[in-house]
Amino acid sequence: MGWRAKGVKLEVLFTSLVLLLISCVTINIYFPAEEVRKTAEEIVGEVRGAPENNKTDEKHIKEPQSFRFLPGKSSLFVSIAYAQREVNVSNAAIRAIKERMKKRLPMLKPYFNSGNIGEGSDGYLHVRSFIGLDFKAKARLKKLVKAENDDRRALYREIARALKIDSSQIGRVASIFAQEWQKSAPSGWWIEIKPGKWIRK
Amino acid sequence: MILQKLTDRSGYAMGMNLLSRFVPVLFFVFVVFAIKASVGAEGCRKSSLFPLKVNHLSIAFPGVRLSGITLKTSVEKGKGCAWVYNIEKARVKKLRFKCWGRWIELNNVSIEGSIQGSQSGSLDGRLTAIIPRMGKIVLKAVREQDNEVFRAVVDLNSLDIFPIVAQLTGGKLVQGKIPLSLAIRLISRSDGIAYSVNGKIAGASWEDEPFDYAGDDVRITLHIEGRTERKGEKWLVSKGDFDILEGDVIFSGLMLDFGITPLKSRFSGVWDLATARFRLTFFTADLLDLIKIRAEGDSASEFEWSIQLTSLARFYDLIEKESMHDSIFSDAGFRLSGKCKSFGRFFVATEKSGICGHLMCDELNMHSESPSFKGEFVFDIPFFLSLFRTSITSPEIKCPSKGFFTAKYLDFYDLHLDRIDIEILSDLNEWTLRKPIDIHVLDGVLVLNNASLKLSPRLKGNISISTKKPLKYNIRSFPVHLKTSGITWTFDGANLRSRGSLLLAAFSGTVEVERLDVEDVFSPSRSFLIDARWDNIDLKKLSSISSFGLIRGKLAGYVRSLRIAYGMPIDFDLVLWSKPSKDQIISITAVENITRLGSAASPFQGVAGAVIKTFFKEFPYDRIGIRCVLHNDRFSIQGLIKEKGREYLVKRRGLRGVDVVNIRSPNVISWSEMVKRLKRVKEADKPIVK
Repeated sequence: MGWRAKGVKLEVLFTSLVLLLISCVTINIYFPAEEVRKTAEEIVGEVRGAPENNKTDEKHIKEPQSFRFLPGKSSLFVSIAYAQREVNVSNAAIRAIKERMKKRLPMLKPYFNSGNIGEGSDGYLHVRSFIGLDFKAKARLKKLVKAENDDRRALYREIARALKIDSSQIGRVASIFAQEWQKSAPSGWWIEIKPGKWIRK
Repeated sequence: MILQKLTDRSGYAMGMNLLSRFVPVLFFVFVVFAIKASVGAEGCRKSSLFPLKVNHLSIAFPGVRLSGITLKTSVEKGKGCAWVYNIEKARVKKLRFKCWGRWIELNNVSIEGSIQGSQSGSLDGRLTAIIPRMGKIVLKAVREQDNEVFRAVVDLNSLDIFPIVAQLTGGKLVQGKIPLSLAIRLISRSDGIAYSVNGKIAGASWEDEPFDYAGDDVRITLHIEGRTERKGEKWLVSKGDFDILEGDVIFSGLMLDFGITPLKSRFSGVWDLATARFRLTFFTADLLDLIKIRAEGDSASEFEWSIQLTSLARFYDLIEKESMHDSIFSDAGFRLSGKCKSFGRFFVATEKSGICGHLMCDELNMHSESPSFKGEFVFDIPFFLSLFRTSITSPEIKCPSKGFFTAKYLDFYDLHLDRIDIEILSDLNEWTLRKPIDIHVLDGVLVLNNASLKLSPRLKGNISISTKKPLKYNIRSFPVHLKTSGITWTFDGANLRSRGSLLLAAFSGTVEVERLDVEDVFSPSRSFLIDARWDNIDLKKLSSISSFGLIRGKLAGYVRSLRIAYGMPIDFDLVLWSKPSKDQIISITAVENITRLGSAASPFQGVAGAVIKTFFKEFPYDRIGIRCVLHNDRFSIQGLIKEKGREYLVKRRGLRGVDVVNIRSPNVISWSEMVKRLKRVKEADKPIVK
C-alpha cells in the first residue's frame, strides 16, 4: 500500500514537473521584420515606380516598432539599429508575379484615381465603391482586383518562403507590405489606415 | 379573474394572443352585420350607416401578419338596395408575409377601395394597395350570383419588387430595381377554377455589395395559365413559359449576356390549393446554342432530368472568357470541343436530397498549347451527389454505379498513348477505379493500381501507379528505363503529395526520384517539388549529350528541395561528386566550363597555361566534388574537396592533372548571371584555345 501511494505521489510530481516545463516553453517564431520591410520597399518600388508625395500622411502609416524596455538604460539604448545590408529577396516566381503586377498597374490606376479602389491595411486591394461605373466596368474592376489580390497572396507566400518565414506569419508579411503600398500611393489615392477607416492621401 | 390574468405579464401576452385571434373575427362579424343591417333597412334609400374607425388593429392569418392597422370604413346603401362597403384611408403599419420560408416585411401600406354588393348576393369590389417606394397593386373582384361566377383581376404596373427580392436573399442585395408588371386573371365557375398570369420585368438591375451577384438591364417575361380539371378539385393544372431575353447577369463568378444567349424555358405543374405550393412536373430550358435542359417528374419527390451541351466549344469559351476569375487554363491556350450530355434523377425528401445520373461524352477533344497536349475521350461517368450537406444512407435510393472513361489517344509533347479504357465505380460523392488498368506506353507497362476522388466532407483523392515492365525513353541515343514498385499521390484539394519513388536507369547508373509533389495545382503559381538522388552515372555518356565538355568517370549525387515554378527553378540544393573508377579524365573544355560557371581560377592562365593547352586536351583527375545551392535568386558554388586550406571543385591526379580551385567560398552570384553563363557554355561549342 505504501509503495503504491509513493508511486502515485511520484507520478503526480512527475506530471506536475512536465506541465511546469511545458508551460515555461516559449515558442519564438522567426520573423525578420526588417528584411521583409526592405523587400517590400524594393518590390513595391519596382512595381509602382517612383513614389509621389510619399511624405503625406506618413504619420498614419509608420510601421509600429517593438522594442525592449531597459530600465535606466533607455538613454543608452534608444532604439535597435539595423546594419544597412543588402536585402535581395527574389526568384523566378517573384519576378513573374512582379511583371504581371507591373502590367496590371496602368489598368488599375484610373480606379485608384477615382477612389473606386484603395490600398487596404491588410496588404490587399479593396473595392471601396462602384460609384460612377457601369455594369461592365464594375465587372472588369472586380476581375482586376481579384487577379491583383491573387498575385499579392502568391507574392507574400513566395517572400515568406524565400526568407524562411513560417506560413502562419504571412499575415505579418502582408501588413508590412500594406505600409509600403500605402507609402507609394500618390496623393489622391485612398488608403485604409486601420480596418474600416479610409483616408484620402 | 380574466382581468387579473390580463394584467400580469404572462396573462397579458396570452390576452393579446386571444385578442389577435378574436379581433379579426369580431371585425368581420361586424362588417357582415353592418351590411345585413344596411341592406335590410327600409326603402333602400341611399344613406350612410355604421361608420367605423379602427386604430392599432393587428390581424394574423397563416403566413400573413398585419399590425398597426388604422382603418376608416363605412357601409352605405346605394341604388337598388345595393350596399357599398368603403375602405377609406386604411393604413397597415407593418405587413409581414411568408415567402419561400422567409418573412417579408413591408411598411406603411395604404389601402383604399370599396366593395359593392346587392341583395341577390353579387359582389363588385376594387382595392388599391400603395406600397411606399414600390408602387401600387390593384385588385378587382366581381361575383355574379346568378351564374355563380367569381372573377378577380390583380394588376401590378411596374411595381418595384426589389425590396421583396432583397429580403428573400437575406439582405445580400444592396441596390437595384426590379419593375414587375403583372396581370393575374382568376375566374371561378361552378365547374371549376381557371387562372392566367402574364408578367414582365423590364430594365431590372440588382447587385450585392461585393458584386458577386448582379444583373443589369435584364428583361424577363412570364406567362402561366391553369385550371382545375374536375369540379371541386384542389389542384390547378398549370403550364407556362419563362424567358430571359436581355441583360447581363453575374452569378457564381460567371457573367452571362442574355442578349447574346437568351434563356427560354417552358414548364408545367400543379398548384396545390390546400398548401398553396407549386409542384413542377415538366421543365425545359434552352440557353441558346449552349445548353438544353429537360426535367420531368414531381419536384416534391423525384424527377428525371437531362442536360445536353449543344456546343461544348462555345460553352467552354463562355466559361473561360466570361469568368470573373483567371483559371488554370487561362494561359495554356486550352480548347475543348465535342458533344456531351448529362442525365439522371433528382430526389427530394425531408432528410435527404440528392442528385444522381450520368455525365456522358460521345466525343470530347482537348487541346492545349503549353503544355503541349492533345487527346480525344469518350466517357460515361455515373455520379451520386448529396445536396445541402445532408447524408443519404437510405438503401432504397438506387443510383447507377458503373461507368467508364476511354482515352482514344493522348499526346503529351513527344509521348503518344494509344487507347486506354478505365472502368469507374461511383458511390455517394465519390468515384473509384473498378480494377487496375495496364497502360502500354513507351515499350513498357504502367499499371494504374488505384484512383479515387471524394467530394465531401472535403475534396480529396489519390492515385497510385506501378510498372509491370519498365518504360523506355531515349535521351539522345542513350536509353532511359523508368520503373516503380509503387508511387501514390494524394490530393488534398490544392496539393499533390507523393509517397514512394520512381527509379530511372540511365547512363549506366540509377536515379531515384524520392519526391514529386505539386503545390497549388489549380493556381498559376503552382510549383513542382522534387527530391532525387543518383549513383554510378557514366560521366562519359552524360557529358557526350551536351557541349559542356568530355568527362570520364562515375558520378553520384543528389538534389534536395528542387522547386520549379513558372517553368524556372526557384530553389535547389545540388551535390555532385565523382566515384572512384578506372578511367577518370576531364577535358580542357569541361575544366574551362566549370571555371566559367563557378568563377574559379582557371588553371590555364598565363603563358604556362597556354602552353599546357596547346599540348594537352585531357587531364586525369582524382576527385570532383561540387555543391550548388539556389535560394532567393542567389546561386552559390562550393567545392567539396578541402585540402591544406584550399577548396577544390576538381582535384588533379598525379603531376599532369589540373586543379580547379574555388577561390572565394561560397562563391555567390545571382541566378540571372548564372543563366547567362549557362547560355555562354551552351553557345561555346568549341573552346577557344590559343
